[in-house]
Amino acid sequence: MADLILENISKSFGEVKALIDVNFSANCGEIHAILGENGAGKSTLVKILSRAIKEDSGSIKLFGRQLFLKTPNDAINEGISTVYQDLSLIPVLTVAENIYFNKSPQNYWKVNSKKILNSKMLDIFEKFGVSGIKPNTIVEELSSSEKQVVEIIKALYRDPKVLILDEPTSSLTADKVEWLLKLIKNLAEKGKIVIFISHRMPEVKAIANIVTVFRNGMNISTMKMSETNSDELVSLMLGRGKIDFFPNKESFIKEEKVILETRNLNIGNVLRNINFKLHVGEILGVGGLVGQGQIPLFLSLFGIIKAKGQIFIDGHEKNIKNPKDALDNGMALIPEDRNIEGLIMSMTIRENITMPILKKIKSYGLINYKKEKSIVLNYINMLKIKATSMESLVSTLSGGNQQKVLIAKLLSIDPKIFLMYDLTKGVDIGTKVEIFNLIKKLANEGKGIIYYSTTIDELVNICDKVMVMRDGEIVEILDGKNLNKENILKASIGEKIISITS
Amino acid sequence: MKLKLNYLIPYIVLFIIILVIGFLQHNVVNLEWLGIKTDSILPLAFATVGQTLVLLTGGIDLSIGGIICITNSLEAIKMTNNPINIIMFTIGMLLLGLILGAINGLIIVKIRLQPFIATLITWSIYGGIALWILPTDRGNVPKSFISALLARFGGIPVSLIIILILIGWWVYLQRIPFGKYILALGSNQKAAYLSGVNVDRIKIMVYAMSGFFAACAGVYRTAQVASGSPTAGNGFILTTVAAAVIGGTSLAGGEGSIIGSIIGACILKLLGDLLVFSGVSSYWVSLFQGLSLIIIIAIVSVSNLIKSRRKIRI
Repeated sequence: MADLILENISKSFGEVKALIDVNFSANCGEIHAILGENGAGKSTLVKILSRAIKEDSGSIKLFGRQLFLKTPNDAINEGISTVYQDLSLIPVLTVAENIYFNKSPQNYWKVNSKKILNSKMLDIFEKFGVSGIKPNTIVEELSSSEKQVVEIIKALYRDPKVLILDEPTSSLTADKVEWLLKLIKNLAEKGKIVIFISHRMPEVKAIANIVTVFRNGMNISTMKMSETNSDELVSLMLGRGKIDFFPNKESFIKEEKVILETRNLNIGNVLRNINFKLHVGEILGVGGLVGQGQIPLFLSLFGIIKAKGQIFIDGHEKNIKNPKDALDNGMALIPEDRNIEGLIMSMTIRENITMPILKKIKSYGLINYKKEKSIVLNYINMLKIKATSMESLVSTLSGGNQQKVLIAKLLSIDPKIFLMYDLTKGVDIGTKVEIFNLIKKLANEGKGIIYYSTTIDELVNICDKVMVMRDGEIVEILDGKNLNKENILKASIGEKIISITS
Repeated sequence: MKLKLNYLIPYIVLFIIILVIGFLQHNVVNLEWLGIKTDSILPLAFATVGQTLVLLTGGIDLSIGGIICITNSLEAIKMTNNPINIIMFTIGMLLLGLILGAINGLIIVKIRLQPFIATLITWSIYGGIALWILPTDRGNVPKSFISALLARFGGIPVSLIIILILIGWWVYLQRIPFGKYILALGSNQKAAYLSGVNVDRIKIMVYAMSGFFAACAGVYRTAQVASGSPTAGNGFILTTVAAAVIGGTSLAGGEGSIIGSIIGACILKLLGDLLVFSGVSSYWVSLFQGLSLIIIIAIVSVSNLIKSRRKIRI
């Protein structure tokens, strides 16, 4: 029997099934890698094991004994330590205070002692071979790579039996990655169970003995690393499900005219040397794993955050300082979170749609209600927004209809360039089809569209070209025959793509 | 648009209060009474209108206390009995209020201080300036100034006309982009910003307006009391917030109206009157006023609760 066994674990978030009847096991001394696309269920599984969230059903056994974990602290006491993807450090405390958060050493007077703490910390740093980080530095002042190191030490110093690492290398510098991989190998040799989630195939191949692939909340396959290869793993991650609700992928006659161009956009480490050209009538996809710089790219194009570099619209360099400048230059943004950034929930459909154009529909200083109504009615009919009237509050609409209101709002300003960030999130299939057709129609009318999606299927079927981002860079621009699911995923996880030159 | 019950509650409460006053004191509720009441309500109504604009954007303005103190003090001691001087000086006071309010807005927008803290600081500063101008309550207010602001045109008081103008202004505000932007800012600042609304400018304008209305309150109070006080405004700060809330304005922003706030101000004033009429000792008025406020606000919230329940059921 395996040392760590997860049996029949299921977990749903509302309607979404994150894990469906998952079985998973791992043994002492092995480095067990978990692979899968965005939203495949890897992080959910890890969080259940560390008790950050509670499973709906199923059981966990460690060394033959069933665990009944109630709090994350229970998991830690059972010897399960986790290095999270989103850092769990408290920024205003020092390195040592963070690591010893619960059990700060005390002196004779039962008062937390910084002196003892810092000297203990130095011992631990020496034991794990960490250099260059001082115990009494405030965490805020560390670089993101150093923070990740502290996070790793925080999980390690307790001498866990099970060590879970959820994408630990994504923010580490190259030398620290090497340090970590060595450390993990060392721990496995000492008989620990190491569970390692990474999107970076070379790392996984370098250290993992066993690999498990997740897809759509299910454990698809568990294999020995030596008995498989990247091509097999990629195809397991993607699956072969055919989805045929996309519009026909016809090749449009593209104009050569460039509508938007960026030259060397940079924001520290999050966005690096972004160069691309968006043509008239083109749908340019943005792909890659979550959090590889796609959000900063959209925000900087729309003037919400400042990036170094140049943005050209219709061949003229523009200085876009805020969303108003972006709108004035013919750009429109579907933001990441429509509830928080896109729509005003307590206002009506009419008020939301006309918000950006109020100044344009004035007559004699007053908002022309007749004009406003006819504009809104036109969009309600065109996009088939289902609501009792245009005076319905947006908060009463379904996700799909809310997204349509947001689209109507953007259409009303008649932009030349659409920045669409995860447009189909939380949208039902019927509405998706309508939205896809609308995007095609907009492209045919000569608009330029930048389309980000977490769903690889959408990128392949909707876009003319897809640029894949990794670590804040564009690592690959795929088009024509090279634009397929395998290549997008491979480029996302740092594998070589198969290039067909036509 | 459907008329919702909870919007009607302040009106119903006001109506009941007036009815009870009429019942307790025969032949009191008439045009003359109305004039006296609107005169006494107007300073609070002014200040509440300003406060409401700020609350609608999701902020709060404590400094109106200080602005009322400054304008009341200056107006009470520096005016001479010369019509041109009176008019010029009064306009000057209103502009001063506008500027002091704009300073609040600039601090909030540029230094990015919380509105509560920013206006707490400026309240203290403005209040301090008022004490420096006029250390004790006194004043020499020109007769013509008083009679002009407390005048009646064919029995209709100037204060009532002003209140009607304020209501009309709110109706106008809802028909221009600025009015929409204020509400949008209060409901979802981020979405408003991404829709191209100049959030900073709207905020500065709203605080400037609040200062302007506080100055209006200060000026009118001078005529009403015929004296100046360096601490007169401090009682306005929380009363304006209470009046706005009674009138249906949400402290979270984005919801409410100036008309409701004016009604709220009327309720607060008349409730005090009613308690005195009904023989409650003046020591107890504050207690009873508080209790009545809890009841009124409870009614409003309960109807909101029922409304949201219904929404969930759908």
